[in-house]
Amino acid sequence: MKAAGWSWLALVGFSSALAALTLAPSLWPWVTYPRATPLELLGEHLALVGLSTLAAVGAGLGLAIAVTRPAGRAFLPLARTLASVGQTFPPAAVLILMVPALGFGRGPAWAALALYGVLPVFANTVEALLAVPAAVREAARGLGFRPAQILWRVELPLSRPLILAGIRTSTVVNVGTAAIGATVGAGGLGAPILSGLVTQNNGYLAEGAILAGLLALTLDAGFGVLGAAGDLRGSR
Amino acid sequence: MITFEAVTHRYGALTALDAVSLTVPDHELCVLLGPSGSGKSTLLRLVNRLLEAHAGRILVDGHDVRSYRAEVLRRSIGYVIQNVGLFPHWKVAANVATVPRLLGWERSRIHARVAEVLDLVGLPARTYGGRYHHELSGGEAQRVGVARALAPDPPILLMDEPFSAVDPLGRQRIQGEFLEIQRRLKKTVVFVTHDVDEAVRLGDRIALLKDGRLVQHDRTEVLLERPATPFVAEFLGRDRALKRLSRVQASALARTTAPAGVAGDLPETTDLRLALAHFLESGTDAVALKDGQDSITGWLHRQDLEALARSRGQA
Repeated sequence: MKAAGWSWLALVGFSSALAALTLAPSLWPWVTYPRATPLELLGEHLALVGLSTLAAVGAGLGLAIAVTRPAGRAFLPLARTLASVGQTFPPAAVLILMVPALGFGRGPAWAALALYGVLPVFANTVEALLAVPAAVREAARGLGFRPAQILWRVELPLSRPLILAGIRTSTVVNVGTAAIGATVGAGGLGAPILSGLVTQNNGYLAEGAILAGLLALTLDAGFGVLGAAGDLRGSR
Repeated sequence: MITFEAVTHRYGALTALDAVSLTVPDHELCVLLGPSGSGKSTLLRLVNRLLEAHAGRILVDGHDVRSYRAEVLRRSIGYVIQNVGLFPHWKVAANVATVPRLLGWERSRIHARVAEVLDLVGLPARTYGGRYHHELSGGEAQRVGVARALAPDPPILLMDEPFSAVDPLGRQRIQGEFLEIQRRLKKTVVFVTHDVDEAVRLGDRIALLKDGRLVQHDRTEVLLERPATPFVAEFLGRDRALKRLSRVQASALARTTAPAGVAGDLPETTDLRLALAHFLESGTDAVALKDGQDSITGWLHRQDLEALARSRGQA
């Protein structure tokens, strides 16, 4: 309960700070980035992170489930190796590598974020599914669950905490990587940061950095609340 | 009735079961006994099609198990395993309700049945229904496992070393409780164990397996009296006579006349092995037998007990 309390406190604190700074920019009069309001920048950033993470979660879960089924089991070692090698690439490198492939703009940033975000979700889901005790799976089969029922009613619920942790990592890392996305023309909160660096304008820099930081902290605290709620366990 | 007809199963090049034929009659508990690697678990898992036979057939009440969809078949057969496999994210009540829910029973019926089976295994739903696996002792968890298997009231129960992971004292208790339940419910039970004492205590009949072949299948008394091969005799142990005595209650040999030299008394439900221990300790030749109300119902003579131990061939 204590952990859940702190998560709630952090969520309320960070999200109100984020809301205040975006909805009432007069609170920080030195903010002068001219090309978009803080709200627009935050919106772009959220869209970029949200859509790419959503795709990453879908692909990560799907792949992890596929390679832990009897039919896909042969690909498990290869997929695990690729995922752990993939995670050693710095996110910025993945982003830059997308440019020769897809050019400048939102597309490559989106693709890079989705691609990089798959890895933690995939890795955690695979580990969680493999950690389901053999006796539990055997009992489920012996009692007459269909394979899909074993997945939905036993394996995934038992894997929930680890999967959630993977999505959390993926989301938070993507908030930061998305900021670098400005270098390939993706917009979002990285735009004022980049602009601030180029023109040596600390106001621009602070605007982007503070909002991106608060966004990451807010999302992280949100997952903390979700995870703590899972610890209380449903009745079934 | 479960009938195995020349059943063969292989793991790769290894033949785990070699043309095993065996019939388990209705309402009896048949123990599959044997050393590890003898194929007893494999044989059990063929019944609910967790494994498929490579040759031969398995019939349940005359129907080939392959004529059912595997999941439908499994829901109609109770299944208990050594490591229980309770679903850790569900409370005890939800675990016990598993198969009735799969079968689509109504909520009120499930609720009533869960309470009934939890009572049967001595874990009242009021106290235990809301607990999780990690809040149970090993013995309690295994009782929940038995309750879960009994919940849909299946005619057949498959038990794969269900009590082996419970500590020795707890195991004896849970065996006794299970015997009581079985005397009342009269399920057709296939029970795998490598523990001879457990087999002798629980089995109406014992099928002894070795290296994937059926060595001997008989009523437990017959197996103890007339082991078919030296392997059977060795596997059952040199104290076969004592094991036979352990299956008979003192009341079975009770005489109605009091002999001279009676010392002490025993409950009439005491098994003859314990009665022998009493004779050895007390140095007497007869003992009074008492019923639950503490009144004497007869006398057990040491010479009758010894005569039974020496007798062969009268099951």
